[in-house]
Amino acid sequence: MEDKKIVDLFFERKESAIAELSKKHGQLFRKIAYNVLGNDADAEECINDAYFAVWNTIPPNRPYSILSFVAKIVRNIAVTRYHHQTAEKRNSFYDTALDEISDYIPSDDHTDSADTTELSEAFNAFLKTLNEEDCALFVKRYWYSESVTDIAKNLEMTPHYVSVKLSRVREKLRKFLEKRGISI
Amino acid sequence: MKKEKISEALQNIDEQYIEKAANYQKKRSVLPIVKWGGLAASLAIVITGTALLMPYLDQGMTPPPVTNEQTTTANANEIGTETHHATNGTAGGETHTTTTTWWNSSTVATGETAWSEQYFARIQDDTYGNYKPMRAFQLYEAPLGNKLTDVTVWGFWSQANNDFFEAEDYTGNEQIEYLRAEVYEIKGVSPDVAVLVKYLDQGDALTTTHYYTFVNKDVENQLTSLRDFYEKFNAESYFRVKYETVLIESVKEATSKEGYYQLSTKNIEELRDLILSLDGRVVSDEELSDWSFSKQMSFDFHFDSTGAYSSYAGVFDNGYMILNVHSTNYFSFAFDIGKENAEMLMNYIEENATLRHNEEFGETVHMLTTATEIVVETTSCEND
Repeated sequence: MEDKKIVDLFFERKESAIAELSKKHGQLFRKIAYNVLGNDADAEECINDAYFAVWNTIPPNRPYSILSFVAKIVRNIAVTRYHHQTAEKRNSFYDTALDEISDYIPSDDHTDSADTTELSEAFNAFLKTLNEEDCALFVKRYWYSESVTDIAKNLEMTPHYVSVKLSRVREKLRKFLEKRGISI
Repeated sequence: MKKEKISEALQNIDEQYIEKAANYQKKRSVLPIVKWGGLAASLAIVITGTALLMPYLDQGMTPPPVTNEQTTTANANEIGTETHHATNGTAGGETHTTTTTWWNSSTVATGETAWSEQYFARIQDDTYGNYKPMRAFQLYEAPLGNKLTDVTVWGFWSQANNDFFEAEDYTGNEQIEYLRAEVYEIKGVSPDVAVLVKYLDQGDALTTTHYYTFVNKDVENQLTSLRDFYEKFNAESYFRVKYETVLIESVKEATSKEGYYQLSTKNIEELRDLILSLDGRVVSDEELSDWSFSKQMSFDFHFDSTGAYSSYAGVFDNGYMILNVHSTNYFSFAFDIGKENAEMLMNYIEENATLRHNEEFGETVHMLTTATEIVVETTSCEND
């Protein structure tokens, strides 16, 4: 079913909207939640919560892309839940990916460090400068928290190739942020 | 702190990048022979896959999930172990069993948790006719008590639980399944509030190996106090704090400040003891429609005898404590534990647990200022 039709089902308040959404994109949402939370049970709860949230926000919202709209909700809930988890459970692709990128974001202890909105804008501006492949790799790794191995497998690349590409993209990001005086 | 800021900033990247990355495929030149070879292989997969699915497609049913786990048979003796068994749907006359250490969608009977049409069940018995079915996957932690009675259960596919519960006359409804079942106590729990049901007949989305929790749908109206709630559901045995983290939020003139507190093992035990030592009157729906607070503490908990897979508590500085448990059905219990007790709980966390970060969010949508909004919110998104 087309995404637009799924959104229409939400507007008609038909519960089949959830089933269709799950059928079409459920696997991706489950993966996002799993990458952050690191286990199936929590990921499943997260997806259920996300579907409740989507049901309650469409309408009035009519998302341009239901995939990214719901993906964002899933990630947001997963990250919130992640911070509630026990220390030993907190060991996921999400954490590894964040560790990896945080070294490339310039640090600044001063009060004029960038807020999250400025940093989001900087990320958007940076992604605009990348070619299609680099952009996809960056988002898969740092937004979807996919492992290098998974990215390589899904895109039929070698893990080494993905690692090297990501490392170059991270370096580009550091220079991009430094040039604009953005630090956190 | 830095990582959290990066995570939050990443969360808000433009949706076009999220969608493009999801759909991205590596571009490469493909030799014609490889291309056609790939197409032939794809066709073979489609034909084989369709043939395998035919029995289900024909009956409009969902095929059971594929599992690599060893097939096993569950029995009553396995309840209480760390292993959970569930038999998936019986489409095509086959039975597929998975073993897992915790619940996930593939361990629930096919369609049991479907969103578009859920499978509901109603016990045909004067005593248990108003009990609502909760999910089955908690049962390995809910020990079996004495057998209470034999019953018939009507199983039914519906889009709305209430339609099923409020219908007076089911005569002529060919979709209803009539299933023989046994009702058991949950060990140490009053059958006035919750029981376990074991099916002797296989239902369309039910198993004969699970023990399903049913909770009295009037329980919210029957409780006299928090202590009564604890005793009826045997909180001493079944209640425990779920995560090592407690969130304390305060709101002042639409600005929210929040802090995550890390609990030690000792803190977890002490928090549980403090929660279970409380008492308080039941807060009515009318009272919940108009009240406010400026500080809230929340945490997740397990309360297995309620049949819930997800539960969380909110303690408010006006003295209210709201306990939410939800599964296929949802219950919310509100009590007035007194301002001094609410303050005592928050002080305990602030003084004994470790503050992980405390960030000013500015204009916020994190906090809701009336209980009415909270009740609405919690039905939709538990941890938001």
